[in-house]
Amino acid sequence: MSGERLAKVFWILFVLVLGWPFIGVADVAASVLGIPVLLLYTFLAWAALVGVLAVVARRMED
Amino acid sequence: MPEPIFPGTAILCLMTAYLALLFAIGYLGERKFDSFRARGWDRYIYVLAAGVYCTSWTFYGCIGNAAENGASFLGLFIGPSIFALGWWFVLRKLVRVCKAHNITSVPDFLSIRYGNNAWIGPLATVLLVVGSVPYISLQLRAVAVSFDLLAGPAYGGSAPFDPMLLVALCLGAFALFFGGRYLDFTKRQGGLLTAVAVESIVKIVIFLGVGVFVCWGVFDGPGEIFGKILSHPDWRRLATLKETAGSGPSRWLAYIAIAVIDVILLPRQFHVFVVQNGDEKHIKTAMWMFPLYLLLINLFVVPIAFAGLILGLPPSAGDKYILSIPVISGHRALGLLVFLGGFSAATAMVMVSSVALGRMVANNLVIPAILKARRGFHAYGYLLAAARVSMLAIIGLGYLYARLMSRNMVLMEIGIISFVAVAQFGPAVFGGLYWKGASARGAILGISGGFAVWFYTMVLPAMVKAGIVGQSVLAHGPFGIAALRPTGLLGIAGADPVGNAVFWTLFVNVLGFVGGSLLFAPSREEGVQAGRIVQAATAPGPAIPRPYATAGAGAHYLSLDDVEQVITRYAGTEKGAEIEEAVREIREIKMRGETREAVIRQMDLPQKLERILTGSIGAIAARNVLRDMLPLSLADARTLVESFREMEKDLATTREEVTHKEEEIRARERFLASVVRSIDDGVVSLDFEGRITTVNEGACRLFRREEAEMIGRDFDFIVRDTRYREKRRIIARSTYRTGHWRGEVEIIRKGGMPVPALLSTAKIIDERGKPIGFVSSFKDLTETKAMQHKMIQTEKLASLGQMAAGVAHEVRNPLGSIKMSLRLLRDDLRSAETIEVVEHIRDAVGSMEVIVNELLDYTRDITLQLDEYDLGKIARSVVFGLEEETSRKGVTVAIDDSGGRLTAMVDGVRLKQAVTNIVKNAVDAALPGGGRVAVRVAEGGPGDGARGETAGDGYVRITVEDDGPGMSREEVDKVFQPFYTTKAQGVGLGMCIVKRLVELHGGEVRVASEAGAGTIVTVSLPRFPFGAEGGRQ
Repeated sequence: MSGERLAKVFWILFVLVLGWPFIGVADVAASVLGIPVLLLYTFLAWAALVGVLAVVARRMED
Repeated sequence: MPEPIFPGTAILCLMTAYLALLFAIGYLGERKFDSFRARGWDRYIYVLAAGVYCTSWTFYGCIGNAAENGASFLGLFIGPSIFALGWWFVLRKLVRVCKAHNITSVPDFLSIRYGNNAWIGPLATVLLVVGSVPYISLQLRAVAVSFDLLAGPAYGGSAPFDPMLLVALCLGAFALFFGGRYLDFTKRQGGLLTAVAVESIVKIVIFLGVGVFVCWGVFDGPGEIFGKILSHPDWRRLATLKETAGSGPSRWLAYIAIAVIDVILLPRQFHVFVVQNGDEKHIKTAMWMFPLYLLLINLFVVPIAFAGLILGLPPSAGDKYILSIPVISGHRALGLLVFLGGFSAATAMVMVSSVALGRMVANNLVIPAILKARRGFHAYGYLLAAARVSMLAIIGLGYLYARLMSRNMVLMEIGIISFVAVAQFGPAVFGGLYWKGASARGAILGISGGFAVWFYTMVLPAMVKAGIVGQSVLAHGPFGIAALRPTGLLGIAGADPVGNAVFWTLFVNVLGFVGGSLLFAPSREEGVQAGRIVQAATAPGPAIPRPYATAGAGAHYLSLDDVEQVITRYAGTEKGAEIEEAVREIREIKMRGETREAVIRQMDLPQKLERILTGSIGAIAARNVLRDMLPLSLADARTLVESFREMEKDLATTREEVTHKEEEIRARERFLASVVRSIDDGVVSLDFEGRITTVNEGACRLFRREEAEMIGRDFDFIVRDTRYREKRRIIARSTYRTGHWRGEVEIIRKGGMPVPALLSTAKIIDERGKPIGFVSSFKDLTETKAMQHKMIQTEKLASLGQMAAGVAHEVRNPLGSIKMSLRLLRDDLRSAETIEVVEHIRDAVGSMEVIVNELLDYTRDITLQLDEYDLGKIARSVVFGLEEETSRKGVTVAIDDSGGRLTAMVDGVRLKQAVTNIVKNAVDAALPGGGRVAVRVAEGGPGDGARGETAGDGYVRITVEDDGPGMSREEVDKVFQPFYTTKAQGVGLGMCIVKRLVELHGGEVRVASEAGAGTIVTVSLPRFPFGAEGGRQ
């Protein structure tokens, strides 16, 4: 899959994952491994986004 | 608060030392930037410099916000991270457009994109300054607050003077040195970038260090911190978004929306990401490295905020937690380090923003005003001074605002106000980048509307909070209309004031932008420029020429020296190479005088000069300068119009001629195609590799193949001749060198049948003499070969015949003597045995005489002596003459002359000779001891025969039929060939002589025979042949 296509797909995915209402799923006053669910979810998704960005950037054609 | 941790003087010295270090780093960066680039470090400097997005507001303000509202602030960093997925398209396009036009700021972009509208640049500049100055003041204020925390209040405290003033002055000097040395703003500011990149490293390292200290130095890990927060009834809500006041989905989405725009359009971000981009490929690095930086720097914001709460620090002082926690934990040095981190974050922002904003103000407000006021005024030094003063003025404004206006506001509030302000340029910039229909009036409407709502929903509440405006407007709305309350307009955006402000500002902005663009269509100039910018997405290209607005009539071109002088004075020596090129262009135009070409090139010149100047003095000033300097006079305009009319006329004529020529060429092509089609010979064209490219119908017939079967195949496919294949290279070389080759080859028809052909091949050359292929013609040699064979055979036979005639002539006389001698000898012989021997010898001699006579008859010329003869009588005389032979062989010969007297004009002797040969052959062929031969004479002509053919007028027919074994088809075909015989005796000339004699009479002889069914020989003769003297051969 080309970089452009990947960018479009993941853009939609992460807008949903880190936008509303999906982030609302993690918006609870609870914790996992001692970390609030919302924070854990947000930072894990964010880290995944950084990884995806690295892959997408490498696949972009000049 | 505890007692001052450090003396104020000491902290001031530290600040001064740090600023000096910053200077040194900047200076080193400027000197060494080329070597950084050579090592590939420039991409990392580029990305780290963009870390200026995280200012002291991140250091302090975000922690304060987290302490009150939880993690909603993360939207300001996650938004840019998600949007980074599109940077390769959006940011890259923006970089390309800006490079093409030497654009150095957002107002410059708007000015150029929207057709050089005179209002949009200054309007955008003013609004950006209004939106950004509070943010600069926030940085200075953060320095002051952190200073106060460590050293006590600056005034009346231990500091000899205001630390904010110290910072403002030092940063002003830094901005002048690294950003204000040249008028050309497009020059790479390696020193500034390096210094800001180093500061990004300093602040993230310190932030992460403090975070680790707080989590594991003060507490037993983040788990303890979060556990306590979640178990506290008042703080538990901070772990969610929806339960915190001023938080929830509205604020989360609002932060994402404005951050997506501001990460590119904030003046400091635009300057680093767009203006200072040295290589588009660096954007790929920024795509992942910048979000990683944001993630890391925000990793410990929430834990530090929660730790402050747990340690009992007041929630309202959350801005200071990062500094307070190390101090109250007894780690003073770490506190100083945190101060340095915050100071680093603040100074980076102020440096870059003052440079960017100062240049923006100079290019869009100050310089155009100076040039307008002093028309024709041009002085590089004054313009550079104006730029520097503007930079200092921005910092001065920020300082004043920090001193006078922001004491009652928390840092986060100031930051958000600025963020929302800058976001108002998003629709006009990004919309203008992708939508051709966006117009200047739509952009102005959108920006103005957005800012108006921004003021109402953000600035007014801040003024209420500061005590400048009364509380009633916030509580009850203007004129008591609750639905118009600034923090909850129409109640649509929920209770969150930031969400409310972002929603309404962007809504009104987009509505104004789209509605205004649809209502007020772009002007022609805007449309042309919009088309070019919107399409500037593929490859970096040359500068997009701008339509240039012309001034009134009356002025003339300045002299060459004047133009050169003016350009140099505005651009200085910074653009040496470009100025030289422009001067060369001017010189060439002058050399061409008043020619059409000169006038047209003259129209392009302002664009080139404007591009040079835009980078130095901004788009508006550049346009004004050139309008004054290079107007188009009325005379030149007339010349130009005439030139265009002539060109149009020439174009129309040329178009007609071209159409006419095209028709001629097409007609000729059709004619040539018809000629090639009509040629009977096969014509085949080949490319240089020997592959067939075209064939004509003759070739299809010759090879018995369809065109599609041959196109694309190798030449060997149709030519088989081994000799040809071996010589193929020689033929190709010969054809290439001499232009042609000719010779015999063997072609292969469909089915594999070889056919001899004459191949003639020639080289095809184009109009420039370059060889482009070969053409080969094939002539079928089958008939020619057969004819050649026949001619050879005929000549052989003729030679043989002549020789035989010669021999026969020589032999005839001796034979006559032998015969005479034998008769005399016989008369004298008495012995019966001897007499028998002599008779045998006489018979043999007689046979030889017959052979000799036949040979002589075959070779000599014959002249017929025609007379009327009864053919029946001739036939009877033949039969009578052969009676002895037929009796001896037991063959019955029957004659049927139809009872009539059939006569014809014939040579009786010759005809008898011919009929005698036929009957003799029939008797010889008839079955021995009972065979039958039938001789019939009847009326009948050519085509008439014993096998059921019909009668014809004027002809008589003699038919001789036997009941012998018959002949095969091959034997029948050869029966008239000379020297062909199936008998043991005879030389094989009998039927050949028959044919010759019959044809001399104008008749025809046919043989019909089948193996086992006997033979019928039919002679048809005209009753009255041509000419009175008969035939002669």
